[in-house]
Amino acid sequence: MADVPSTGTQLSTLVRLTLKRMMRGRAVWVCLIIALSPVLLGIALRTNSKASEIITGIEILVMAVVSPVLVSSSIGDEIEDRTVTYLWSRPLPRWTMIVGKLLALAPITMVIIIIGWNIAMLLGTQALAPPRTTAGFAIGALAVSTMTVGVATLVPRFGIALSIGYILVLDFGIGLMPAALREISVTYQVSRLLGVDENAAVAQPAITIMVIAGIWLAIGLWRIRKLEA
Amino acid sequence: MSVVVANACSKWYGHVLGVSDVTWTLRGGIVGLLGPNGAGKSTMIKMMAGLLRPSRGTLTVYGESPFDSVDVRRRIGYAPEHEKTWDELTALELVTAMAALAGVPRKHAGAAARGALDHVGMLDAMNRTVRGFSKGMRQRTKLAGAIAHNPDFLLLDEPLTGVDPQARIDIVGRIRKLAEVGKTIVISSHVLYEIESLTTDIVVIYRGQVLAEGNVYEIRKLIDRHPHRIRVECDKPRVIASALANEEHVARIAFERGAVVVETRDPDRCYDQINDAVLASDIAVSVLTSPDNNLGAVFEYLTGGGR
Repeated sequence: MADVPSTGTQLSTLVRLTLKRMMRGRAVWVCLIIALSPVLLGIALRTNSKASEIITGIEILVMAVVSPVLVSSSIGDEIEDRTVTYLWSRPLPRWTMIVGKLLALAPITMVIIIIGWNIAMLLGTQALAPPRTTAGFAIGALAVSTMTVGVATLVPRFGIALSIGYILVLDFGIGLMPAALREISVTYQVSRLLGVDENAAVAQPAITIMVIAGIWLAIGLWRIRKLEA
Repeated sequence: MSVVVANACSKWYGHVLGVSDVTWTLRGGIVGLLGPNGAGKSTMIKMMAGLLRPSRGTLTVYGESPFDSVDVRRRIGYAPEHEKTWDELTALELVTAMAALAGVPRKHAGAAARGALDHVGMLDAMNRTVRGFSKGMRQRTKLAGAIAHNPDFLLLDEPLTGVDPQARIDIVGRIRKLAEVGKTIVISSHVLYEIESLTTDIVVIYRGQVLAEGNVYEIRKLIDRHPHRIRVECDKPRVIASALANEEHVARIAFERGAVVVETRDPDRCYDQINDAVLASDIAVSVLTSPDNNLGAVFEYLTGGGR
């Protein structure tokens, strides 16, 4: 009979399992196509003086779509298809499922978005994207992935749609409000990190994003403890 | 030490009752959970596997709550009823991942998976993706996933549903072998004749309650009074029908699209004759099922509903 595996072993097994399944599925290729769509925009805007701003706006939309498609589908489908029973009947703490999937998928999401962003900016502005913006999108992708985890555990069946809807409608809408309420908007904080608001500092939006992501992660971890398969 | 102790255990899904006030002790061996669909068999098995928490009462496995205790789940092997698995993977990858997640060291997980797949007769297909598997192959793969980490206690939820007669005999033999090496096995089915081929120790469950426990013979007598339906999906349903048409135990034969449904008063003989016809005429059977209407009727009778 096997011993109870260590947490590190469990997580690395879950990461490898998630990556193997993802690479053989469609979601990663759909995400790649979405993430590279700003490249076409970059080519089209080559002579446009507003290229940088337009590409930035589109890239925020891409970030709001790619993370849910990749992360939410992975968690939501596992719960909806009941394949989660294969995990939860094993000697694994339930939180390892979420953390394992995040460890596997969040870096992929970040890399896909950063690649799309940098190529689009290079083609659109004939210059490399500022490192601050690359870091901003990486942090934003991580935060949106984590938010998506929370939504996918709350409503697994509609995880992708609700995550995208939440970010594009609610979060984006809150971010446009002039009042202090917009501080809780991830997309607003990402735009500050990117330097869209020239006066913005780096630390404060980064910390705010991490706090919001942490709350969503806590919701996901709380929910996964309660879920039954 | 008892393997499972359920004490006044109930489970609700919202307002829907899963199991009600079950008090039951399992000490070892093979035990069959028998009941029609929706009776509460899967709920019982899921509670034992640690997937569901009892709404009221307690259920322990080896003295611990399987829902809360990670440790005790390493001693449990679970093959669910549903077909869906990680279909993108090959059988070997799937069972290796299951073994590793259950605690088999990574360097040994592949060998453990091969051993388990060999045990269920899936070695030849182990490098094929699960997506293309027949129902019988999926059942075998799930069984391999359940045994790869060498658990003490096996929970098999309807492992014979939908498999062809030859595979059924083969799987039954392999489950028996597991019991011979000391595993405690709980196997659920809505077909008495499946369970009877494995054990005489049964728990009859209906509408979430344990109706009877122990001897299989009395319930069998009751069931035999009701015609038993067997549905065979195959490429030559008329050949099977003609092989059975003149048998006195056959009450009725009906055809559905690509299938023949036989009602019999002697299921054992009927299964044997279907098997003989399949082998003699080289018939490709895709699904063999026993709709549980007859069992439901017997349970209605047992609970007084049929009087």
